[in-house]
Amino acid sequence: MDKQQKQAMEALKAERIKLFRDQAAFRPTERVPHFCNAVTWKVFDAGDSLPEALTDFKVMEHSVRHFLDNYPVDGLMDTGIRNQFNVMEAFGSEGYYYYTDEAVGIKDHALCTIDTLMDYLEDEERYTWERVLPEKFGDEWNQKTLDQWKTAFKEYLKYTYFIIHMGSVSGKEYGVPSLAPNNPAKGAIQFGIEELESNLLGIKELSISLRRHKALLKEFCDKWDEKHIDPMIEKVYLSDGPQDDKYCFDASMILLSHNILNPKQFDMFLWPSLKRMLDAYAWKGESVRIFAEGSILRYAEKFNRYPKGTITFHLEQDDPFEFREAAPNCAIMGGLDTEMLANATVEECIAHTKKLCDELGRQGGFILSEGKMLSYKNDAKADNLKAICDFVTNYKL
Amino acid sequence: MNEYLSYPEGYEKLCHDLLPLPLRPFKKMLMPLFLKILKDG
Repeated sequence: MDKQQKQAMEALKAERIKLFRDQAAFRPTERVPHFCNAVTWKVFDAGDSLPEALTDFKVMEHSVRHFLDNYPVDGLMDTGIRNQFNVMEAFGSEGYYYYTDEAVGIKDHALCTIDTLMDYLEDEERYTWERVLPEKFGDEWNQKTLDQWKTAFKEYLKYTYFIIHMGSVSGKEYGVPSLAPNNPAKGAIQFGIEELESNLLGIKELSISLRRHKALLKEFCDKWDEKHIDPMIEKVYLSDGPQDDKYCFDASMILLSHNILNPKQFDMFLWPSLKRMLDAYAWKGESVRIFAEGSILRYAEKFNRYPKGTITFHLEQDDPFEFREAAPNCAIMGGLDTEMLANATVEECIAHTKKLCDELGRQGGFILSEGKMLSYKNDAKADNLKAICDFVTNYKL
Repeated sequence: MNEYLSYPEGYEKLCHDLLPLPLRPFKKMLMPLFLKILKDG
């Protein structure tokens, strides 16, 4: 790339960040931006094999470049960096994640029992070393050699370089900005109840424990949030304010536990810490994207207390029109579902996208995106996605 | 007996043996994510 091309990409990236920021803050824009939620679908669309792409960074980079060359999106949720399989394979052991020719999957697992939760919290590193890893790897754990550790660590370093490399490819060569300043090494925003569901107990055990061990779970969540969330809140209050020249949002978080919590449990386990965190972002005038897995519609009103520009809900399954009614202060990211992308005609896709732009985006407050991650080969027809990308790029509000 | 199994002694020895000299100052940044991949991955 010559200097002129680099400058053009920098300008495009800045323009896209402004589009996202303006829509999130309900400021009308010339067009609606599209933050695409394509994940492993990119691999199939590029004609690459999933097992190869997940274990060979060059193949994954080819898949991502093929996507960015063919689909003019303003943002891309995954730049091929969700594949950590090489680390586990170099370690010579099977992990919880696995892949087939068709998909990436995860086996049910729980790192703790209800009886060991507080031990984990007391010293997570020690618990991981003494309990989680020996139980996960069984007899193999005692036999790991320094060579195996070094090979796995080398793959881990290659993986971190790949993350940095793909950030540079998408930003500098395609003008595609980063979503938010998340740093995986320092930890994502993960509330206690979310950690219980995703990793420590799993959905089934958590659901049972919410009835049988309410006091213990409450104690765990309060202590977890004190340890992990409070320092993040403090950093938000001490921050310089929005990083609107670098990122589309100032923070990004994922919520899943609301799907199994009833309103009383939601108020007890999730809302106190979530509210304190959102209060901090609102106070600093910062913009947060919340990916709400499943449906969060029944809790929408709670979030409407925040001023416009604070929260953008990325809706996985909720209807965006219904959500706008319930929480008019929250911007919406979404609108495209895999059912339509896979089965509708090009004309139907464009008509639906036009309706979204006209009714939700004209006054600001809307970013086009796929609700569910595009993962499987049949999650979208290429012609449909291409037509939507072309339409939304050119449609003036 | 594997010399890395104990905590914190074994773990600290592994960190020392694993990280080349130029990366040792970044131990607190590199090791948690590495452990996280082994734990959650």
